[in-house]
Amino acid sequence: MMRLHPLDRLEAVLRHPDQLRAWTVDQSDIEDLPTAGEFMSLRWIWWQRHRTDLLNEIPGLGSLPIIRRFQELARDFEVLMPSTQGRSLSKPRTLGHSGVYELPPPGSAQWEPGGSFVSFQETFRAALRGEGVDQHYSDALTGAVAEMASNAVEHADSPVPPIASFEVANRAWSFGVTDVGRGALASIQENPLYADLEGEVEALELILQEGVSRTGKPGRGKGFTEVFKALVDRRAILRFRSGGATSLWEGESPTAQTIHFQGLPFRRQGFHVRVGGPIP
Amino acid sequence: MVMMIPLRELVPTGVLAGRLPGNALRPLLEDQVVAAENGAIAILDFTRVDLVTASYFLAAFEWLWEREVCPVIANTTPEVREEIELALKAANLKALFGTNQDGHLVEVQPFNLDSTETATYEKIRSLGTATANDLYTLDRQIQPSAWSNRLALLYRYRLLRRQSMGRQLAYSVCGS
Repeated sequence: MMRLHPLDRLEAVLRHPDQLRAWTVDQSDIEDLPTAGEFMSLRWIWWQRHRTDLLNEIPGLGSLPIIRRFQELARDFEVLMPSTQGRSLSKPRTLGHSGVYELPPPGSAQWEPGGSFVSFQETFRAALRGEGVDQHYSDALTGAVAEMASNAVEHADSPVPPIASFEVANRAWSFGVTDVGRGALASIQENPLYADLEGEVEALELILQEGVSRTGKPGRGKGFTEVFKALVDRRAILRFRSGGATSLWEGESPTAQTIHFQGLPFRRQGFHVRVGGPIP
Repeated sequence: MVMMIPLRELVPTGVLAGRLPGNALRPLLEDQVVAAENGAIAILDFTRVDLVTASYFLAAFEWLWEREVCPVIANTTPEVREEIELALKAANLKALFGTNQDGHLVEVQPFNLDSTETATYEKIRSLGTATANDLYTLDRQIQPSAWSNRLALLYRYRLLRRQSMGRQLAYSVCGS
């Protein structure tokens, strides 16, 4: 039986409300929950698109154990975004150990050295350092979130701005970048080499390979290298989802890493990356 | 002319990552480069830069190799240098690495050259300034036109500077 990530299961339930009563949560789901940042990113993007709060979509959804756990994790963001409605995230909202940020478009002054993106990035780094993460690893993770954020804005072609988030709490860290754009398949098809590619799983596999990009230009497609480095030897877990495909990447050492791809029983617009791990 | 570009005075973070932040740095550098004379040495000083990614580096600096300046990458940590080397190889760029000590470049070394290119570069370095005919005088197994081509190639890589000396072109290493 296919084992779905909790967020994908949530999506499945949202698409098939009749399954809500049959939806059960096992202990492994609780231990493998996405962070508040990931959930709040989805919730924020949902509001942007539908002008309704995700939690109000289905009666009883907010009382599900897994959602209650989301809410607990998201309490800081509740302070940051009391209702999510009508609030702008174009300036980073941070509470020292957590933050969420609506990424600016290409060419925006916010990407410049004194802009708000650097402020968001540095808040994440300070949070990691504050929790005792060594400088080398803090730098690598900060670099990784910058790479993922930049990639989302460049490649997603998203109708609403992508969201970046981070959380450093309970001896763990995570960051996520979520967009509701075209996803990896449509993006990589711009490269003539892959114009005939049809599978979303194959597209996800391709974009995770170093040097593969939609432009096909030398030096492009290297953004994920930093994520690889951040993962090595630190028991981090990377999760990617694009359209109807997902992958989970885990590692214990530079030579002991596994990456597992699978198709999902539904398709969700856009691309999501979430990286998380323990604080040693 | 030597143009110092101390990156940490331009960027308030030691983590330089992402193509879009790299793109955003470029206009700040262009102003300085446009003001510099042709053949100027642009020292990219990475002091207190803790991390740079390949995508940031190429977005921020790759255009320098298309201008009449000699970029020299200085004061990198081993980790930063390793990532820059990956970027340079991916973009098939040659470069000079060195150490900036109080405005003086020392320990300048070329990167990403083949053995022939390295040998030519080292000959120019040992001579200070030389023309193709000077090199032919030293090694007559290689014709002046071949020396001229090799020197022109190193110039296009932005590893050598050149100036007219009568009807000939004289070359010297950047950072000398």
